[in-house]
Order: sequence, then C-alpha cells, then structure tokens
Amino acid sequence: MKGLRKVLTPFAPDQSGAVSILYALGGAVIIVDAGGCTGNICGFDEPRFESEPAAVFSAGLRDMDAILGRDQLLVDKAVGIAETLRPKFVALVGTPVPAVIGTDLKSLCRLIEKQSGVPAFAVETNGFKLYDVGCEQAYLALFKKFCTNRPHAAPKGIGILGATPFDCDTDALGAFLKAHPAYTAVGWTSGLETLVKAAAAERNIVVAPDGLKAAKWLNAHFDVPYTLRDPMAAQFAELVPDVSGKRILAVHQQVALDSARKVWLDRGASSVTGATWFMRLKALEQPGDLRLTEEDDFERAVDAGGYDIIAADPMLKPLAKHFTGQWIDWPHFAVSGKRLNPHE
Amino acid sequence: MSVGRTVQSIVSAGKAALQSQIADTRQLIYSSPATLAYNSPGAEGYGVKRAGLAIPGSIMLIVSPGCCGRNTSALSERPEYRGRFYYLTMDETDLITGRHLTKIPEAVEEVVAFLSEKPSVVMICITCVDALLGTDMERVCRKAEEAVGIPVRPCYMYALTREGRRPPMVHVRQSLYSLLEEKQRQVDGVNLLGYFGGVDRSSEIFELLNAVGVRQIRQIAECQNMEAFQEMAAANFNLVLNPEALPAAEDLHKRLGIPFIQMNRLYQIDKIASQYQALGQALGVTFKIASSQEKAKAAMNKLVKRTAGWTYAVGEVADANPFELSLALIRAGCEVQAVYGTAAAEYWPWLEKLSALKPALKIYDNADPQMVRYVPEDGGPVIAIGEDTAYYYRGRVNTAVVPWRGKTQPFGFEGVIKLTQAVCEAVDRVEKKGVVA
Repeated sequence: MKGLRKVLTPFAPDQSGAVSILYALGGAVIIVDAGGCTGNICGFDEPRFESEPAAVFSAGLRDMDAILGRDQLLVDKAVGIAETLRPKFVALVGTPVPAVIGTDLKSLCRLIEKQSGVPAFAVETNGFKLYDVGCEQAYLALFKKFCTNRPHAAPKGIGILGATPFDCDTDALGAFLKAHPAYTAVGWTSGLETLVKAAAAERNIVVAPDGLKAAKWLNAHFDVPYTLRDPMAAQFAELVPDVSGKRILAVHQQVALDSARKVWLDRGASSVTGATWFMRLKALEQPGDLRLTEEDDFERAVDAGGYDIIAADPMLKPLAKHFTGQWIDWPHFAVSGKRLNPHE
Repeated sequence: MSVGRTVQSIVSAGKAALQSQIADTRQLIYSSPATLAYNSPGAEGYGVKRAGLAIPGSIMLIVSPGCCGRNTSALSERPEYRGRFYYLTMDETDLITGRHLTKIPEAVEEVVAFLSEKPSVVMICITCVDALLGTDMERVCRKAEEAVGIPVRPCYMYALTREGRRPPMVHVRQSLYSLLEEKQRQVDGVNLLGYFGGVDRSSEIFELLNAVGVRQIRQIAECQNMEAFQEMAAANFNLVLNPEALPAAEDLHKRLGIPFIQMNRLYQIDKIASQYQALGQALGVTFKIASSQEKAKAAMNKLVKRTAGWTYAVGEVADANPFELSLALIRAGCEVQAVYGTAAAEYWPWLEKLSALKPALKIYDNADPQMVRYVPEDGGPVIAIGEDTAYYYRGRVNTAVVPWRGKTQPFGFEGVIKLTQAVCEAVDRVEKKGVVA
C-alpha cells in the first residue's frame, strides 16, 4: 500500500533539513510547532544539539492558537526573543501545523523584522516533504537574505554546499575539512560569515542535490562556478574491495551515488545502478537508475536486478530477503537515523 | 528579563500569574538538551508512543506526516519495541482530502497479515494534523477492528493539547484501560495506576498492602500478556499514583465499578506517613509504617550529615517533583540553592512553603528562552539531582551528579532511602577523585 512502512522508519523530514542548514549560523531558529517537531529535530536529527547547543526554539503553539489564528502572539514571542538575544537573524521554520492552518510565515517575518530590527525570514517547510527540500529552501532563503552585494575581495577558497549530517558522515566531513583548509562547509562551519565565503569563493562544490539550487543562484548572481562532487563518497567507494566485473546497486543521495559510481567504474565494475529515495538531478542520471518511493520499489529492484553487490544503508537489508550477493553498509542518516562509521 | 526568579518573587506575584503563563504559552520554548523530555516526550522517557505499547503483544500504526514518526527509529532499536511500530505516512493530498482515513483499515489488515503472530491490540497513533482536521478516530478504529477481529484503539499524540483538559498522556492511559473487560472482583486485588515502568518492587507499599490482606498487586508494566493485563479488571480498587492516570481511574470506576484512591509520590517523610494513614482510614485498616518511617528518617539524617558543605540543585527531569523534593531536603536541613522546573499552579502549596522557608531560593524555568545562555555560577560543591540539572553542571569536577531517573519508579519511604543512598554514593565518587575536600 502506498505510504505504508512495515520495515523502514520515516526518513528525515524537510523541517529537519532546514534547521540543519540554519543551526550553526548564530540566528534564532523558531520552529513553528507545538513542541514535538522541535523534539524530533533537536533530540534526533541534529547531531550538534548535545555538543553545541544553539538558539533553537519551539513556538509552543497550542490548540487555541491554531483555532483562533493568534499570529500576533507568535510575532510578539519572536520580537521578544530578537530584542533579548539580539541574534543575527530570526528564522521561522514551518511544520504541519502552520501548513494546515495556512499561516503566512513570510508576512509574519516582515512584521518581526520591522518591529525588532533583526533580519527575519521564513523557510516554508511543512513536515510532509523530505530533508533535502528543507535544506534547499533554507540555503536559498539565507543567500537571498544575506548575500545581496557582490563581494569586493578577490575570489578565495572553495565552498561546500550540501554538507549536512543527513548525507555526510560527520567524522569523515570533519577529517576532510581538516585535511583541506581551503574548503568551507556552508551551514556546517559556524557563523553567518561562511555564507559570504560561498558567495566570494573561487568555486563551490555541491556534495548533495539540495545544494544545487543555491550553487546555481550564486553562479547567476556572483559568477561563482560550481561542480557536483562528493569527495567523501568517493573515499568510501575506494574502500569497497573487489568490485572488478561486478554488477553494483548503490542506494544513497544522487551526488554521492555519482561520485561513487565513477570510482567503481574506474576500478572495473561491470555496471553501477544508482537508486535514490530523494531529490533527482537530470544531470547525474544514468540509464537504468532507479527512483525509490515505497518499500516494494527496493524489494523489486533487488529481486530483478541480479546484482553482485549492494551498497546501501543497513536498514534496507531486511528488504533484500532474496539477495545472495555481497552487502556493503553505506550508512545514510537521512534514511535510517543511525550514525554509523562506514569505515568500521 | 533575567534568568531565574526567586521563589519569593513567584509567590508574591500570586497563583493566577502562574496559571496564565502556562495556559497561554506566552513565551517561546527553548529547546535545550535539558528540556528535551518536555519538547519531545517520545524522545526520552515515556511519551505517547511508548505508553501506547504498554500492553504486551500490541503494535502501533503511526498515521502522520513523516516528521512525526521520525525519531521512532531510535525507539524501534530497543529489543522490546522491535517489530512493533508501523507507519502510514500522510502526504499533502491526504491532508486536503482526508483520504488517509479510508486507508487505515486496509493498512491495519496489511500489517496484521505481515506479522507471523496476531497482535493483541493495534494502537492507531495520530498527531497534530488530525487534531486540526477534527478526525473521528474512534469511528475509524471501529472499522479497522471489524476488518481484523482484534481490538484497535486510538492514541492521540496531540502536542497542541498538552496543557488542555485531556492531554495526550492522560488520553493514552484512558485508551489502554478501556480495553479491560468486566471480571469477577477479587477482594484482595489492587492495581497501581500511573507509572508505565511500574513502581519499584522494593517499595514498602507492597509489603504494607500484603500485611492487610491485599495480595494481588498488579501493574501494567508487569503484565506478561493480554490475559495478565485483563486480570487488572478484577481489582477491588485502584491506587492512582500519578495524576495523569486519574481520568482513566474515573473511567474504570464508571464502567467497571472499580473505586480508586489517589496517592502522590512524596519525599517529605511526615507527609508520606500521613498519606499511608489516610489510605488506611479509607480502607478501614491500619498500616504498620513505624519501622519504614524510622529507616527513612535515619537515612535522611545520614544524608544531611554526609552532605554538609554541599549545596543542592534539583531538576524536574527526575523521578520526583522538584519543588516537593526541594522542600523535603530543606526541611531536613540540606542547603538547596536552585530548582529547575516550571512553577505551575498545581505546585502552589509547595511554592508557598519554599518561599516561607527560603525566600531567596532560585527557580529556573528550563524552557525559558533565556536559558540558552545560562551557565550556573561557579561556587562550592554541588549535588545535581535530575538529568536536566546534570546537563547544566556537566563537566564540573566538584559536582556530584544524581540523575535519579529510572524505568521503575521509587515510591514511599523506600524511595527516600534509595535517593539518599544515590546522593551519598555520588558524593563519595567525587570526593574519591580528590576534587572536593
């Protein structure tokens, strides 16, 4: 049945994606919910929550707020926090509740900005979509709000767009950034100034599809070129032994799939089929690639494909009941919600 | 606006000020690791999802946008919940058309057919979206029940109604106990209602009840299967140990004629004794509590001596009410410097007493947005009781951390004794490291 999950748990939602981009930038992030969504995000999807607490708030909506449409109360709360904490910005992040009652978050942001003098913007997520949609929206909202002028300084450094805890192993990303000091991961490295770095970069690399729209926007407005490449995925692919002559099914986000595919094909793999539950980019799609929506889609793909190797999040393994080949764990936090080190 | 208020200033502002603040949620709720249990009971402790699966052999179908079920994957990892959560993920069209409701009976059928063993109950968990849509889930559950031939019950994970008259944790208890079917009454039977993890069997309450002839003491946490759970319907009376179970007890009274008596978990030794005396009067018996009471007093006296020179910080993410526990400690002679908890109107009697005994006592509301920058002042050695307090004092060498949060719940004199032991052990550990003289 469409939408029924018997083995998998729900994937990371758009609101979690939005918060992951905004989390470390020094703003006040207000999740427009009753409290449960905030708990899901902070207590589960955001790995920095324990070690680097940030100003993330729940709007604390109650039934009467929704019934009576007490938007002014939310504006008052947000203005109060903006005046008290003086954050770099106020961001309203949507959830199912404002989506159902039709709250105009953008208008509320205009009021908040006018009354508090603190820049305010909305990320109109609704909890029904997936994390990558939220990441994409948050990136664009940030760049449009804060990258309004062409940087005066000469282009410098390389920006990484799309690096979030949902797609990247946090240790691998940390190690990559340490080994490559010219790179700055936007939204991962603390501070709003990292945004400006992406606008003034020599080039940007896009490591996940959710970073592409922002890269295109930066390219259109500030002539910053970009490439689609996930070096961490390529590193992972290098570690998979004995791929020569093998038919591989790989399941992840599409930029990671593409980077891994190139490595495996270079190393003599017979074929690499990419499958994803998430955003798809035509530019990276290869004939035979698969779009996954339901659990059955993956089961059918495994049964029909005759693969020698499957590289996917271990949570998918129970769905590959008839698979007799080699299973390679390729963790994807957005899928399983588990942080596993793929190199262990 | 400064962080924290003295208990005197709270009491001076009056009880009405507390009520309005809670009911209107006039402030944003800060999401810190300390408040996680408030923001998302499902993420820690017993939220609706865990509570809804209290009946052995039951399963849950979560019908919601994907975001509501996301953190359940952490819960699904635990052996006792493996294979018990299923999801019917709503999309935006469902929201507009409500078609997800017509799919529920079929989804329940598909899940039940997927399982090798028929579940005892299917709980349908719905969330804020359906609260706003005004879904009649009772009707949907009846349809599903007809389709699969086993009980199907709703549980409402409506964060929007958290401070309402029937909050989710109240309703889930009503839903669970609604499954009890009429049974021949056993005169020696009692149910302890309120704690999903159950009361710690070392509590004297079991011995005291046994001594007056109440031998069948049942708790939902200890029921091994549906049959054992149904035995709860034979109870002569219910003891309600957590106010959240009160409406469920009222339902059982109306429906099955089981009367109920309410008790609270307390740490003030004289109040625990009074409570047992009142229970005895209601039952027409006398509980012999002297020995347990003396042991608790001795333990508390030992604690006061052992922790001289230490100050206490008491939090709400603990198996205690932070205001009542602070009052118990202050009355015993301990030095409490801060309480971390929401000063709600129902705690007014304790707040008044705290104000009289120690007007300068600081009360910090964990959810206050100002807490984002809160760092406790450096001072002498601190005993941090509660997981929230432990968070604020993390990394400090002169802090004895006592999380005081377990699956089974402390109760009565034995609860006091165990707490004093836990505090003394934590102080020993810190002193052994040589950081506190």
